[in-house]
Amino acid sequence: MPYCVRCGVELADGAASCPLCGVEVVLPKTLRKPASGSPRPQLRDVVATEFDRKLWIQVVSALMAIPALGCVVIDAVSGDGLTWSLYVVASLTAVWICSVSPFLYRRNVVPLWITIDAAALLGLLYVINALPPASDWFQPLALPIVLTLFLLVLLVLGFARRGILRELHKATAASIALAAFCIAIESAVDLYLTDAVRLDWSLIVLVLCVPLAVIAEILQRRRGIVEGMKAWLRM
Amino acid sequence: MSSRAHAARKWYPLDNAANVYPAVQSSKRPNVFRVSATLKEPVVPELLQTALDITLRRIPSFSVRLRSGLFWHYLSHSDDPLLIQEDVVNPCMRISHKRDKGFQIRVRYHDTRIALEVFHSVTDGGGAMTFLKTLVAQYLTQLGHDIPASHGVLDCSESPRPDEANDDFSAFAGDSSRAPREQGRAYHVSGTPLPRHDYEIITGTVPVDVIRAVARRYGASITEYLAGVFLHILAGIQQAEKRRRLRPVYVQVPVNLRRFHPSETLRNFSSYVCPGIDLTQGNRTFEETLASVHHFMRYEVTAQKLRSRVATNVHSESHPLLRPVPLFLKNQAIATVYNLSGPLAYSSVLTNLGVVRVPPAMHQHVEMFDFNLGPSHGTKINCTVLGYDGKLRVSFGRVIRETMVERAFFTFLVRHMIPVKVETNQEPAECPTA
Repeated sequence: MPYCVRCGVELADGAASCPLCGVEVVLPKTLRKPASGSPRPQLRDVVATEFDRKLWIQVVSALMAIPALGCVVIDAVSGDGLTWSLYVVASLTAVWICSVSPFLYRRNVVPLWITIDAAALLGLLYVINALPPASDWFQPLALPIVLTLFLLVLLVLGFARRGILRELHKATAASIALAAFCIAIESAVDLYLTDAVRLDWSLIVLVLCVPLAVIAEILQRRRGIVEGMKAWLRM
Repeated sequence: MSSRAHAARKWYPLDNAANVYPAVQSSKRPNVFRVSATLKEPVVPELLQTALDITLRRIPSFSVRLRSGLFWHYLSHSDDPLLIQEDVVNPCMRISHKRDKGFQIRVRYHDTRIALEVFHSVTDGGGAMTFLKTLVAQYLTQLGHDIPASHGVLDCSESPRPDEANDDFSAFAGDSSRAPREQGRAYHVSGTPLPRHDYEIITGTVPVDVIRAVARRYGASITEYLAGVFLHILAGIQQAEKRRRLRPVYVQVPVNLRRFHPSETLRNFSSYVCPGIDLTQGNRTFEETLASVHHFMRYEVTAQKLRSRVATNVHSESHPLLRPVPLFLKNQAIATVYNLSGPLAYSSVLTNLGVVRVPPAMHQHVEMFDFNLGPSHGTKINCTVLGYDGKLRVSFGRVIRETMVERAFFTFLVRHMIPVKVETNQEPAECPTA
């Protein structure tokens, strides 16, 4: 039964020092006993820092709400009702939706937040199109371009997340998707302006992207080339 | 609600006290506490897992995940298996949604010890101790011992009782008038912060009959005596710091409301009182401090006073203007109010779980029980008390390196001729230097 000579408390058998003051326990060999009680656990509970989704949503909401409200007030008191402030409100709303959509759920539901982002972008373009002076470009121009972009992103990310696209296959898919998106933009613009599709600059993008995709595919199939390049670059 | 309806219950609204904890939870304030039992034989993990599965079927309100609704948090029942874990050297860390699979409790084992760590939204110390006793009894039953369902051990062959998941705060508060929330800023001990994830616990074991005799000599109960000692040494530490402005010293003492209201609930059902001393009124002797604590406790710990205090919180929760506020705004409001009236308003916590009683057949297999609060960077140090088998276990958990509070506390008891045996969760090499 060791005691701390400084604190006067009894210490556990086998204690090397007093937990209260740190004074070393000095006992004759004949009185020393092995440590009593359960051995201490060896594991440490280390909780990984988790991204504070709630705080992020609150901060982004405040950052968007304050300028939006300010613009509405200034526009309302300085002119003939609400005019330019509606553009600001619509833009900030779209930015807010895109900023918080990835953090709505604990699990990373990528298709959901991409869908929400696409809807937000379409909503913003529709509002801009509808606000005076009203235009007619939303349906023939904005809608197909945004939907094409949405489908391409969804396809590439979907294949990548399911493990169908691996390593350099992702570069191949991204190159092809970029070329397809450019063709879609030019087709939509041509149809809107001239009612006929005449591909021009998007073919240049296609000519650049296809070799990139082919090179990525070859490198993916012949991993030795990549490893050799890595070794050479390290030299 | 019939027992069948209760068994099929899929979600529970948080009780009145529990609403605060998710809003203020962080790694610096995990709001997790722990009760543990040390057996006389090493624990067999496979049997403990079986016992846990059976106990969770009997007490389904512990097999829950914390969810966020539009207006409030709630607990959703989960039938997924809750796996036991090996014990760690730094208990009561924050419940991690990813690692703990959303469950709000952890059951840990190490050598002869079985520990239950609980997020405070699920239950309070009384409910957790009932769960632990039932779990240990069920574990001993798995080992082949015959443990009767008495002394707070629940019968696992019974269906869960509906009243065990009740929020009894509203029933207790009734139509009492509300007590004002007013308390100034209290003194807090300062020190060198421990590294992240470090939590040091020093436990002193004292004979219950000796400390009771000493407390009676001063005309006080054990809780009053310990609170008096705690306040006295905190006041002494503040005076030794030679601060220009002395702050009052308050110690928060939780009160189990089951003593004042018939309740079977295994969820939160406790309130608190804050005895304290104001150092601006001059120095006080220990006898004066203890007398002040004694009279304060006798005046404050009454059904009427506690009802009034609970009514304040119940009214806040049910306020028609607050109810429709979205959760993220409510969380901000709750956190703000808590930060202003919570840890800032008291210097530390002293919580006494009382004497743990178990069936005699179980008593011979259980060496001791322990009770610890999680780390709190607000108060820096907290104290827990629990009695079992004629011994009182007084534990201090702290997030600062200095041990001046524990040392002053236990040496004070020694000077009152109370023998104290001290142990720690630290490695010997990590003990403080003189």
